[in-house]
Amino acid sequence: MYTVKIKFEKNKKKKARKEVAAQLNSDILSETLSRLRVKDLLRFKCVCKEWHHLISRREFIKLHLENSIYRPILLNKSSFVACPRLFPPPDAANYDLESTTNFTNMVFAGSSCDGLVCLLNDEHGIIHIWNPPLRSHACIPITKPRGYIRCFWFGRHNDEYKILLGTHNWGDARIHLIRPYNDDGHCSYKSSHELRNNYHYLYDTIGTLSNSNVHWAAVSRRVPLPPHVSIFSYDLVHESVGEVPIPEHMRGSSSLTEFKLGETNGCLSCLLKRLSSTDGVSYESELWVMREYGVEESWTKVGISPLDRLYSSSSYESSLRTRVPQVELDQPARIRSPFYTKQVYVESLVSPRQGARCDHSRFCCSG
Amino acid sequence: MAAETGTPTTLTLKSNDDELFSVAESAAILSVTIRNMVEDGCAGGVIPLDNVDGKTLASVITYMNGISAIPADEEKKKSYRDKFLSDKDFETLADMVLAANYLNMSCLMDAVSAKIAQVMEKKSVGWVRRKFGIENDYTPEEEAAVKEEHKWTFEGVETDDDN
Repeated sequence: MYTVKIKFEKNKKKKARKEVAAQLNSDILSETLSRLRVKDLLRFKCVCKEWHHLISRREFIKLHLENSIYRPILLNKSSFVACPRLFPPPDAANYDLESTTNFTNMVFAGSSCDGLVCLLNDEHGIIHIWNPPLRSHACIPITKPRGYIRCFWFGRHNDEYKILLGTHNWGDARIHLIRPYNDDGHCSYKSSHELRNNYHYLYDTIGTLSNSNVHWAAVSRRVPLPPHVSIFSYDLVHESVGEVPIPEHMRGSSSLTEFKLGETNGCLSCLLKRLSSTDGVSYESELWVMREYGVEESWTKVGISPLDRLYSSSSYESSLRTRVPQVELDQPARIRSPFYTKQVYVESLVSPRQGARCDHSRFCCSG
Repeated sequence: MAAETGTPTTLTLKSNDDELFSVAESAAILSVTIRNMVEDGCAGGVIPLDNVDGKTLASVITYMNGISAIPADEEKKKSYRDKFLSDKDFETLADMVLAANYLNMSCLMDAVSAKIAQVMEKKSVGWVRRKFGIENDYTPEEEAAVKEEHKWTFEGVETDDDN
């Protein structure tokens, strides 16, 4: 008798459970669906109108992006830069390559933010913003600035995507601010600022965002003087150019071979690579962190490494901040960050055509 | 009501199908819902959990005991969670996500959501409708249009008849 009862109970439960899945309210459902990859989500728009609406919502796109950060796709640092044929990222062999044929012309630079890849076609003065897994792509024509393009940055600041272009034209160095998703729907090609100091050679063309400023490390090589490094910055709040103070001993000597900017524990940091002072043959790397933004005295050496192939990526996504290993600021530490050598891409549903604005679902939720 | 000093306090939880479970208070307060009850002093008798059935509650309690036995080591906790969820089928996971939501257990909620997403990877639209008990409310024309828009996402999808 007892076993029969159990059996009956089981059947009843199975039936009830089927409805449990349908009970998932939209918060729980969003939480679950936001862990899926873009390809699955786009397919599941077909499930029903409610799902189509949910997946298209701005709040959902944001939640999905936040969860995407925990499954970054690591790329070799230079994948987005000057190597358009390396598109798509190695992990994504199924991405459509058709649109990449547009990029085989000269591409000056590119970087990614929120799953959007931004590329500059120097020759034609076109900016491409591309979301590879979404297979969506936008071309933004810009007035081609005079001179050579020397530095670049694409990222999000105060919920707005911005592009910075640095040009150099016969000693006249300028930074141009481009807002691809302006309020009126048109790209704005805005201010141009003359840099106080000429920059001669850049350690990295892609800027580093920290403390609402984008930074580039530049070096002047005036033979026979030793190289002289400076960090110049573009303040995204005040839209002005400035310079970050660094102590004289960091500015370099003839032994300095690398000077890479990054962000460590939310502070602007730089990785120096120089010839060892002891044997003059091997290389030493040092990680320096500016603990208090803008204060020269706050630069602190936090890590040291004997590895000779250690580079920092100046262009990892701002979202990566949480993924950069936390360096113990009070103790010199060995630098072992794999992320420091990689560029990171995270998938997202963010439309390259409208920035963070959502694609309107044609199927409004009736419930 | 108050336990003698030295002995761990035990709580009694009751599922919506009237099964009773004993669980150490230290493990049960992983649930914010239960912790609030304990703090408000209303956890003395039997705690009825109206939204959770016995089978799911047994699972959740296994998880509570397992995870609270692990000291503060995020790596080990993660591997426990992975192992705990590895053999659960979709229906069980769906029950657990509802229970975790009701009991307000964010760590279980995160882990189960991630696991459900993992199970849903590469699944067909039909599979999802069946498992979630969703009725297709598109007209054939509408459905074809949505499908056409994202045609490539249907490549490499698992066949529809699996369970």
